[in-house]
Amino acid sequence: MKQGSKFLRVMLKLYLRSLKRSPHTAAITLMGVITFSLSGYVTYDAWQNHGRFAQSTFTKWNNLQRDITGRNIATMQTAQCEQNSVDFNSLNQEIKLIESQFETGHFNEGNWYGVNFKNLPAIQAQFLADYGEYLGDANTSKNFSNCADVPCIIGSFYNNDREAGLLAYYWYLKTGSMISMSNKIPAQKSKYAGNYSNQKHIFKDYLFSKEELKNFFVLAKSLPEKFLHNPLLKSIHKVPNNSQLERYSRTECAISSASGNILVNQTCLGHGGNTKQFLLTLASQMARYIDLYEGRKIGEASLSSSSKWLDKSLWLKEEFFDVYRKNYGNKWFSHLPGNQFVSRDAKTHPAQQLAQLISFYRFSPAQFANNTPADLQAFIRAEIFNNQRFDGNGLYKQYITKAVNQWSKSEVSLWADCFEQHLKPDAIENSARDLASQVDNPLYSCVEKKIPTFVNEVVSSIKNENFEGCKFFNHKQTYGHLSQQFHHVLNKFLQERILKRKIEFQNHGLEVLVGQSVKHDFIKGVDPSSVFINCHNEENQKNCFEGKMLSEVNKLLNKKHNELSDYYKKIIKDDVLQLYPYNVVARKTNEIAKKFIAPFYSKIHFSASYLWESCKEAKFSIEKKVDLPLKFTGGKHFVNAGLLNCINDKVEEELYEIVSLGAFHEQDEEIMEFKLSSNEKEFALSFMEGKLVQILNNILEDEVRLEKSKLSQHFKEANGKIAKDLLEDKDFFEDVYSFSQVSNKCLERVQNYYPGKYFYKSTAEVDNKYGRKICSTIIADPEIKKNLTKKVEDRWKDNKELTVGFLDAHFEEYVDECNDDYPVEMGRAYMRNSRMRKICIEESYEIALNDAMIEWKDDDHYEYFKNKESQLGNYLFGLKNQKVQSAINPKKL
Amino acid sequence: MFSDKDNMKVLKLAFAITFLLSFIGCSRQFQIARVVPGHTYVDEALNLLDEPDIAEQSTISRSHAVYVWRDVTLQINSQEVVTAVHRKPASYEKTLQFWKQYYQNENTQFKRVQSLSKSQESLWLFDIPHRGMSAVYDENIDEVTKVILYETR
Repeated sequence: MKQGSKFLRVMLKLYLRSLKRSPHTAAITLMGVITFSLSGYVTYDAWQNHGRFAQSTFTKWNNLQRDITGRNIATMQTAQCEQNSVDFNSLNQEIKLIESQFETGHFNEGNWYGVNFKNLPAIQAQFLADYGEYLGDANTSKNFSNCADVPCIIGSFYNNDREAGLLAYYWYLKTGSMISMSNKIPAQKSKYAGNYSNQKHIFKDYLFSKEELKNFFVLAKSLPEKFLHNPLLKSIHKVPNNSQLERYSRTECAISSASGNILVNQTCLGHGGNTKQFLLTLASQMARYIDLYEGRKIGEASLSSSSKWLDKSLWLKEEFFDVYRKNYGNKWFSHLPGNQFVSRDAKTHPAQQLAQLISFYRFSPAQFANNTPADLQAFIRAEIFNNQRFDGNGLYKQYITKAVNQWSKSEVSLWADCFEQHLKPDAIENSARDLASQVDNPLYSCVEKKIPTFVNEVVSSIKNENFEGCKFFNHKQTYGHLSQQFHHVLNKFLQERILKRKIEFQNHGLEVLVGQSVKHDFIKGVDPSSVFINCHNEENQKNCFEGKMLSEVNKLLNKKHNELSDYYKKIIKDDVLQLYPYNVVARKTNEIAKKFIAPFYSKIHFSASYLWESCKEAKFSIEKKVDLPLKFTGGKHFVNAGLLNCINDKVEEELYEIVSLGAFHEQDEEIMEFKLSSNEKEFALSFMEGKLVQILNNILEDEVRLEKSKLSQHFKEANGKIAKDLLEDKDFFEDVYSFSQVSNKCLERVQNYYPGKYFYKSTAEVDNKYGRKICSTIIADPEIKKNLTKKVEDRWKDNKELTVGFLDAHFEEYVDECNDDYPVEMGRAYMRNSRMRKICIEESYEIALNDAMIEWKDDDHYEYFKNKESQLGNYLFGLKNQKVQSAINPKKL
Repeated sequence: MFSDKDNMKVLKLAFAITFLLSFIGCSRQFQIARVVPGHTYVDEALNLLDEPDIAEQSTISRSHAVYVWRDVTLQINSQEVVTAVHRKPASYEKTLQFWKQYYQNENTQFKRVQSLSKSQESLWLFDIPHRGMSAVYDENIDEVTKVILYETR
């Protein structure tokens, strides 16, 4: 061992000596260091980028759910061909399918009116935990122990009609919002359930009819991605008996509140199964939340208030402030011609216009196209609908694009199957030459034979995944020519694609096979959702996405560098990039992520409540200042700065904790965990932050209400004690100078009886609302008032006497000076002196008065009587004649 | 004593400060701040802010005219005196909480604004009468959208 280390030391010395003397050794050493560093860097880079765009956690989770449910519900038919008839067997199956997609391995614990959460699918338990408050008559006790699931609970409000339960529950699963089944409307004026717009209503009046629930089903089926699982939309409420919406004019029949509740009355819902009006109304109200959500993404309060929208839609606001009445009014004017609006409502406000356009784009595309300027059409199409269109031609384009895209993906495996059958690996090169020369080679007919099956599969998936899909292929009258065109164009396209491959084989031989393998590797190795999420924070997401996808293709092509010509590389590149159009990937990723995230929303509820309570327990302070900017602003309420700062400090931390939780799945006694990467967390947070802020706002509303009644109760109880303590305190009424002084003194005392903590009112507000009220009640007591009046009068009298004393002293000095200057001398100067003395004394009085007032201001009395300064001045001035006369003729007095 | 080099430095500094002050003095916000409701006449305001994008009779109060610029609106009475200035809020003024906290010890009023039919607007006015200042708050987007300065009597 010793010998070994000695040997090493000797070798090191020899090497160092050689390094000093021989430039050759130095050069070799330098190159060695550079090689070592570069290989280190390359290894690190490879490690960093390994699987960079391999499947995202969202995709992995989605694929797993799809595999599991695909096995179970392989034969399900969910195509909706007739709007008004609902196939409840299919609906049942679809609900099971969606429920399984929400299984993230997290469970809610507890019991809800006799229903044990553990016996329910996770999403049903979450539904009850999150929205239980909107279920049932708030005036009666609840017990649902005879129900085994949510559809049963909802059905119990409809005479145990399970179908109604399925429809309402389906809405929740699809959209993440709730159709209210409660007789309490959020923010209603009355604190009693069943009392709205100054009228009493029975519970059933608050329920949407079964026909309306069917319309909700139609709506849920047909809404595009941006409408679904919007974290800002919470619930939809029916206003009973077509009552007027509280705080709104009679003409208003549907509103969407800042706290995430849509209120709607029958006028807006349409009568006699007017599905179109129903869809337009609800979709436009939901669109208000899209407006807010999309606005926040671009750092604005809403899309419709951003210059991006206002400049395009040519809106201008006129405002006026009535200086005398302190009233504010405004009017919006659009410079668009009157016929360029989809509805009368759209003319009133930019937000209304945007919401109506979104709704009409989806459910009345013809009216949208006829009454909307081209640039606004393009804006809505691109910003809200990811360039999807819903008129006949739009549907045709959507479906044909989907089919082409599907072929692009399936083509690789279809050809691979046929290659396997008709090409022997050891003779590929020779076979390729044969392929090039034989147009009727069995390989081509093998692929051609697969076309009808492919077309059937595509049509079936279009019918299942798109609301109008079934109608598109079945309603000959409406879409007959378009569906015919679809089949015709698709078949032609597929023949052309096969022909193209034939020609490619002729021209490029083996390169085609290499190209196919590149495409295959790309489909297997690159998850477009992962690329999209990586570009989430980029300013131009689309450019970033396309750039990264291109770089991934290039990486694969570089591996086959020797096997491909530059020309064919370009063909492959175009072919591969067509697989994943940006808009389709964006829509799909958002859909998957929303489903993954939805189960975590209930955790946000718990988190928000915990956050609030822990911050309230922290030291209460009225001295602190708010730290701007604020994520959670407190809305329109005053919130104690300490509490607000505490909540805002913890918001991000809480959200990070939630998204760090991940999802779980147990399979074959093995637990699979789905944890989000940092990029995915950022992406998930973009959905969650708005939700948390909204939940905090809801908590705040409840807290404000609670504190208001607590404060009121507190002062009601303390009132008597405060009055008693004050009346018993003899000293309190001793040093009394004025009523305002007593009032302030009283307030100081009453503040000692304030509750230890109050978070949603400033001290000044508590003073005005409670403290001063209590004091004025005490002071207004006849006995106290009488005593106080007498004391105040006595003090005022003392004050006047004090000032007269100051005046007399100064005046006496001045009079002496006048007498000295103009003495009483008999003789020639007698008359002159007498006249001058009089003038001097008169002027001296005013100077003395001034001096007396100055001296008074330095006295303690001034503080109490300063508001009576002019009254005091007038009083002293009123004494002038008397004082001057007595000074001129002292003997007379 | 100062050398020529020192004098040059002082001169450069004086130039820089003069340039900075004139830049600030000429900035738009400074010019808007010089329009005082109840005191500034319309011609003085036009000298400060240039020609408006729109100048027309108010459709809300017929006795007033409104002069609209991209960033500010003036209300002018029949004696051609500016009675109110409507400006955009500064970034820190956009949160209503700022107003509620900053003026918590002053006499303030917070009242709902009558909304236009079908607009679904939910506006509130936070008024500080003795300062002649109001903030218009839009509840739907949780943001103060306008700050109004008006003449106090």
